[in-house]
Order: sequence, then C-alpha cells, then structure tokens
Amino acid sequence: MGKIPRRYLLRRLLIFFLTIWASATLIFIIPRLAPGDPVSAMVGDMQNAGSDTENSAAIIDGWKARFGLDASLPEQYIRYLGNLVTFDFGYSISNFPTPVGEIIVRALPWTIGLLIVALVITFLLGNFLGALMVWSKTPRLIRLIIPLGLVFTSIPSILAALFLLYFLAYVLGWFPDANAYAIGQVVPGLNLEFVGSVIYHGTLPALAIILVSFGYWALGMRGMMITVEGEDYIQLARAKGLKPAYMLYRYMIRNAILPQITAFAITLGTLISGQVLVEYVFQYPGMGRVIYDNILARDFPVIQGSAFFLIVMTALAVLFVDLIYPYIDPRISIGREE
Amino acid sequence: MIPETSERKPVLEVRDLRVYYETPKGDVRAVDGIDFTLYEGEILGMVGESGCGKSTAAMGVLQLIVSPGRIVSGEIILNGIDLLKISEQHLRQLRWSRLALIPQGAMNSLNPTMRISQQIEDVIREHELKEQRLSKVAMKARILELLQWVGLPERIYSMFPHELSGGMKQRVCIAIAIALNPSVIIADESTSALDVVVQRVVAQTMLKIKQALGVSMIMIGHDMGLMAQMVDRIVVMYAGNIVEIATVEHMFAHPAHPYAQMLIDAVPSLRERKPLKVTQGITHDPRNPPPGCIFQLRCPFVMERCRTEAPARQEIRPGQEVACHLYELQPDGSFNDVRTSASDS
Amino acid sequence: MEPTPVLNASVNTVTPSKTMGRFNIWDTPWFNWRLMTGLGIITLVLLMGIVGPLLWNTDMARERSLTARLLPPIGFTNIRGVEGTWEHPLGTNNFGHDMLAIIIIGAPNTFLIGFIAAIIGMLVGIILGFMGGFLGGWIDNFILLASDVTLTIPALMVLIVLNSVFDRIDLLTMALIIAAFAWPRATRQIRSQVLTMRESGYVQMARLSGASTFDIMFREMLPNLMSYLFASFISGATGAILAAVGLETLGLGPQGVITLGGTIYDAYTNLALSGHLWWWWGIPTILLAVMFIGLLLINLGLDEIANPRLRRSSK
Repeated sequence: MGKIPRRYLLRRLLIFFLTIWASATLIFIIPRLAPGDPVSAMVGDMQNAGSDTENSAAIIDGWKARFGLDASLPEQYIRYLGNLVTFDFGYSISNFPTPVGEIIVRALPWTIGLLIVALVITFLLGNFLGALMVWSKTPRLIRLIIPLGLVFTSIPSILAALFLLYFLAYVLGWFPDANAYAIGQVVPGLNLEFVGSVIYHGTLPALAIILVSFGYWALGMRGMMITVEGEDYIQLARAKGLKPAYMLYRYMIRNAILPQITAFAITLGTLISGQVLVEYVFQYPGMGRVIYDNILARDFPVIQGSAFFLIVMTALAVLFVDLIYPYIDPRISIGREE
Repeated sequence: MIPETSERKPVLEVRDLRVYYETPKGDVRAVDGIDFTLYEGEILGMVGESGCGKSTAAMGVLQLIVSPGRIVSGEIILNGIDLLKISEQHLRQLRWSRLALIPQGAMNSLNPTMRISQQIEDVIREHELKEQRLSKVAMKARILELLQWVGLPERIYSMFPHELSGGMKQRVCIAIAIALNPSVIIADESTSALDVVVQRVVAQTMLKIKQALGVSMIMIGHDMGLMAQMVDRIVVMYAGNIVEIATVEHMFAHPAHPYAQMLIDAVPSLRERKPLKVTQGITHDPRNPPPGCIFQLRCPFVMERCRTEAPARQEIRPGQEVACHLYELQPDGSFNDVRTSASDS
Repeated sequence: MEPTPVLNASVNTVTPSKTMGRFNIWDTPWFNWRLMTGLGIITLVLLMGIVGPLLWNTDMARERSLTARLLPPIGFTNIRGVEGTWEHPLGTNNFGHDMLAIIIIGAPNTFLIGFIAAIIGMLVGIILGFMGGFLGGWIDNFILLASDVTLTIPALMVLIVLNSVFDRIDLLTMALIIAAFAWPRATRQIRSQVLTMRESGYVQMARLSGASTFDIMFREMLPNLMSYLFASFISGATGAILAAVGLETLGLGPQGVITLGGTIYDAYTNLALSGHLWWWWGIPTILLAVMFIGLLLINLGLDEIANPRLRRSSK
C-alpha cells in the first residue's frame, strides 16, 4: 500500500535501541546501588532465605571471573553490554550452573503462546463489540456486555486471575489450578491429549487476561466509530446507497481501527506485565512463574535476565506494530508524521 | 432559455417539506414547509444566508438527515416515487442511481483509506444490474473515462485522497456523482471551499454535466454572482421558508421579494460604486418563528398585514413566484406592487 | 440507551419525535452519573480510611492472636465449623490479625502511593509538557524521545528488579519509583494540549499584547487546562495504584506497611485459595476492585465532559 517513510523508520528504530540500552543500563546499575559487592550480597541473601548454596565460594569466584567484578565499573559495563548482545545473562545462582538463558528458553514458549492467544482474542473481540455498539440493530444482550467489560477493565488482571482461580478452579472444580498441562498424565508432543490438556490448562489464564482487557478496546472502538460516523465521507457513503454491512466495514471500521492499533502498541507493555502476574497466580510455567520463583529464591541473575528479556520482547512487539502501521494507514506512508 | 412551463417535465417535486432539529428548549424549524419543483434538464439554484435551511432541505431530499434532526412531514417525489413512503431497501436502490450528491467540503468527503478508483468502483458495483455486470477491464475503462470527463489525469486512478489537492478532490466527487447517470444531482456548496481559479473549472464542469448529460441539478450556494452564471432558476430561502422562485433573468432584473432585493444589492458590481449594505442575519429565534410573514422583523416594507398573515406564494409573472404581501392580485389577473400604487395615488 | 442510528438515516421518519422530553436540567455535563458515582465511591473509601481508626481498634491489624485465627466474617462459617463474631466482623487471617483493621489501614496506604506517584508524575508532566509544547525544537524532540522510551519499557519489570534488590523500601520511595514511570503519559497529554492551545485565539492575543511567556503559560493556559489536568491525574493515579498493587501482590511492596496488595500476597502464599479462606484474599480484592471501578467511573465521567459527542450517544 505504501512504503515506510525514512524519518518515521529511523525514529522507531532509535526508540527501540534506546529502550533496550536504557533498560540494560538500569538493570546494570540497580544491583550495584546496594552497598557492598553484588555477588556476595546475592549469595548472602540466598543463604538467609534458606536456599541451598553449597558451593558459595565457587559461585562467587565463578561470577567474579566471568564478569570481572574486580575490574573497573566502566569495564564491567562494557562487558555486560557485550554479554547482553549475545544473550548471555550469566548463571542462575539457585540452580548453578544452569545458565539463565536456558531457564528463560524453557519458559518462553508458554508465555508467548498464552500472550498471542489472549492478545488476538482480546483485540478482535473488543474491537468487534465496540463496532457493534454503533449499529442500531445490535441485540440488547450484546449491548450489556460492553459496560460490563468496561467495569472489568478497571480491575487489574491479577485480581481477575484470583477470582477465576478461586471460583472456577477451587470452588467449582471446572478447570485446573496450575501448570500448562497435566504433568505426568499426558505426554508432551503433537498428540490430541496433549494439545487438549494445554488448551484446558490455558483457558483460565487466557480468560483472566481477556476479561480485563477487551472492554478497553470496545470502549475505544466505540468512541472511534462515533467520531468516524460524524465524518463527511460517511455522509457520502450513505448517499451512495451502499450496503450497510459493506459501509460498516469498509468506511467505518477500517478507519476507526487505525488509532486502536496505535493504542495497542502503547498498551503492550502493560499487557505483558499483567500477563506475568496472571502466570504467577496460575503457576503457569511461563516467565511469570520464573520471576516469582526466583524472587523467592533471591536469584538475581535470573530475575534480571528475565526482566530484561521481557523488556526486549515488549520493545520488539512495539517496533513490529510501528512498522506495519504505515501499511495499514495510507496517510502515514507519504511523508507525513502522525 | 427554458421551454414553456406546460412543456417541462418535473423530475423532482417537493411538497410541504418540514425538517426540525430537537433541542432541549424546543424544535428548531430548519425547514418549515417548502414547496418547489425541479424540471428536467434545468439547474435550480438555492440561495440564502447561512442558517436559512438550504443545506438542510437538500439533506432532507437526499434522506440524509440524522438525529437530532428529523423529517416531520412532506412529500419528496422523485420520478413519480415518493421517497418518504418507500421501504429502506427501495430507497437504497434509488440512491445514487437516480439521486446523487456532490458534497460540500470535498476535503473530507472521500474515504481516506480507499484509493480513488475503489471509491468510484464501489458505487458502480453496488448499483449495477446482474445482467449488465462490468468486467474488470470494462470497469477500469469506465472509471478512467469518468476521470477524463472531469478533467483529471489518469494517474489519479490509484492514488489516495490525501495526495490530491482540494480542487482535484472536488472533481473526483463530481466524477462519482455522474457515474450512474442519475436523474438529479444535488450540489451542496460545491465551490465554496475553493479558490476562484479552481472554482471556475469546477463550475464549468457542472455546466458540462447539464449540457452533455442532461442531468437536472440543484445547486446550493450563497454566491449570487456565481449562481447567475450557472443556474436557470433561483430559489431564495429565508429562515426555513421559500420566499421567491424566479428565473435568473427576472431575479437579477427585478427581484420581487425584499429579501431577494437585499441579496442582489449585496453583489458587488464592477460598474458602479455601491455603499456596502450590512445586513443583520436571521433575527428571530428559529424555535419560535413569528406568526405571519417570516421576514417581518427585517423587512423594510413591513405592513400590518404581514404580522398576522403569512403570504402565499403567487406567480406574479411567468417565471417568477414570490411570497409577499406587497404584490396584490388585480381583477384582471395581473399583479400590482403595493408600493407603486400607493405612491401613485 | 439509544445510540445515534448510523445506518438508518431518516427513512420514513415522517413521525413526531420520540425522544422529546428526555432533556432536563440534569443534563448538564458535570452532573453526569458516572462522575458522581465514581467520586462517591472514592470518597467513601477514603472516609473509611480516615474515620476508621477513630471508630475501630486498628491495632488489631498487627496483634497476633492464637485464639482468633482464621475466623470467617460475620454470618459465615469456616471449614472448621467456627462461626464469625462481631469482634472481628470481617474475619481474621492466619495470624489472628483483624481483617477490618487491615483494610482500614491498607486502603489509604494503597491510595497514598497512587496519589503521590500521580501528583509527582503530573508535576513533571506539566513542566516538561509546557517546555516541550511551548519551546519546541530540540528540547521538544528530546522530551518526546525520552517519554516514548520510558513508555515502551514495561514498568513492572524494572520495578521488580529494583524491589528485589532493595529490601527496605518505604512507601514514599515506592511512590517515587512508580512516578518515574508515570510521567511520560502526563507529559504527552499536556504537551499535545499545549500545542493545540498555543495556536488558539486567546493565546495569540496575549502574545500580541506583549505578555511574557511565563504569564501566558500560567495566566492564560493553565486555568483552561484544569479539568484536563484533573482527568490526567485520575488516570495517572489509577495506573500508579495498579503498578503498586502488582508489586505488592508479588511480595515486593513496601516493608512493614500494611497494604491491600501485600495482604493478598500473604493470603496467596499461605494457600488461602485452596484452603477456602476466601475472606483473607477476597476482601482486599473486592475492595481494590471497588476502588478501581470508582476511579474508572470518574475517568469516564470526565471523558464525557471533555468530549461532547460521547454525551449525545450515551445513556
């Protein structure tokens, strides 16, 4: 449809790299703000928390060698950045010598899977319902869902997760209360039972995210549809005698959805944060549980590695949406910035 | 020159159309009972100051009134069919194929996310009959033909609206309007937002439509000078009512209604110096029009009678109808201007 | 609730109006029910926090009691068959802490974090928004860039890293940290408003009459921004409370301070969910939900005032 203008592209890439650099730097600095040498402090904390650190001396030496903690701060920084580029986050303290990267890779597919499913359903459902609100023939039942959805959006996803967990898993027993699939009962692989089990276990976490998000899209879409409806080209479209369904889609929705996509990019960060908490509540083996387990174990390399990785993921997702946008909104492609 | 009244065939008849807008303090009577007829092959101009109801009347005819406005009563008879009495389905079929619109403010009248070709194509596809379905090639040819007809270059075909200038967009709107060869086209202030140079081009295109395609048009505007060059008859509206309908010749030579006179006087002339006449605008509350003549509060010739009795529209000479008490029917069938007879005696 | 009909414009509407008489004085925008209800809810909760300690013994939130453990709220029976008593109308937790006392202390704390963070965020937003909007140029570009970057970073992640390293975070520090991520939204909103207002008539007039930049900013623009700032504040506060609750539920909240999220964390880690100790996590959760709904209603109400078109099409 159009090509991406250079200024726009450069700016998006700049933001992307700056975001990554800024977060990496923050994550570098924060542990070093605490008094004392970070590694010994970490190990000390872990021992306090009761973790098993038999080889504490070996761990400390291993870390120091690896990250050159005896070297000067700027040097450490450069090395750190270098390591990050190769996705080397160091080793997990509580699971030494497992590299942090490995832990992340194991958990990541679950998080991404849940995220994509929840996102797609939320976006489609929310925007579709919002668009329907403007059509006078929409049945009353559907009209009621939207204010309800709106109320839900004010509730943070963790709370929704807690409610769902309690009522649907514990009280009613309709859904499982933890894990991504029935461990031990089902063999992982491309078989029906496994896939079924995954879907079964994933329903509540996905529902928690969808319930608290769709209302926001519905409201926004409704607002946009109302704005679009007041535009002159809608009047002309009506005068043309076009079929209502066609007009709704091609003239209204197609134009109303553009700002929704921009808003979508902005909310990605919140969404991913929310999902982490939902995973934690449901003990879903994604990044959420990794972070939570390691907060308990005070395993900083894993916490920092996971946090950083999630930040990168968010930045990538935002960049991706930013890059597709010009293809959907022709007004952006030729020279004009938003 | 227009043929004799009895020979002309009406394509659009509007009878007692009323369009009111709801407000918390009562209905605003935007259009308060207008009657007029559009004859085949003519261009009818509608003029009046801002707020007089001409645009609303047009929207009423087009059935594009939305809440808080509503059509209260009336008949809108297009090619013999009363648009207010037919089903939604039927109305949709008639839209554009018989009755089209060239909108005001073409800046925003084109869908920003659709290419020009698509915007012309969708209305053709919508209304074409199954038997006459155009192939892709034929469709493209037709669209290019339309673009050429309004004087636009071929490269416009795949462009988006924001890539075009105001005048070009307006001409695209014209191309879309003539695409289905409708019986009536309503042009709502279609030259108002343009500079004079582009205005001229657009105006010429409109004339071409009338002459080459024989489409009847209603042109709404407030530039009397421009009107004079383009229309055959002029309807003058004031505060929701029609006060005068006359041919262009009559209107400019001897406007009958005092308001029409004001409008003509306000047209700047290259030949004589005239003092600038500043008028007040609609002075009464549109929710509460005065009883009697609608113009009484501003009329320099207002009489007692005007305050209580609303004047009926009378044809004071062939080709000129006016709703004003100044013109009295004489026993011999002609009309006298009350002012002249008063000064006579 | 009749939205404006889109696809059925005026066909065959040769009828009298069906909606006359719906208009009355209560139609003025400030009276809209959403805003009023929202404010009502928030005020009630705040009142509870302020007046509560005077009417109820809030020490019970911290006193351990072996006998009064795991009591359900009044009218309910827990799985051991023990009934709730009026001494602890909302029940007690694992340690015998009284739930009512907990929420009386916890609610204001949660609010406090949100409000402080939102105010700081807004102040920064006003300063940077005006600077960027008014001065333009590279200052504006820099501010925009900084906000975009900060906005992209999911705050929770950085907050998790921060709070896991530092144990002893107090309430104020936490509010400050959250504010560090709250400023971009306010800045962007204010900046766009400033840009719009800069070109408006009365500002041009002020400029022409020689008013100083400072004067223009504070005498002309700021008063007009008031309702907008309020809306911005409310959404900022909502976001801040959300972030705070997120951290608290993970156990990363301020130490030694009773918060609603922290209570939920305690409940969760003590397996209150599977143990059917619903009041332990349920009551703070419901209270939080109510608070959030109240804030949302205020937000929607303010939205309606700002955007007249929404007014026409809503209930």
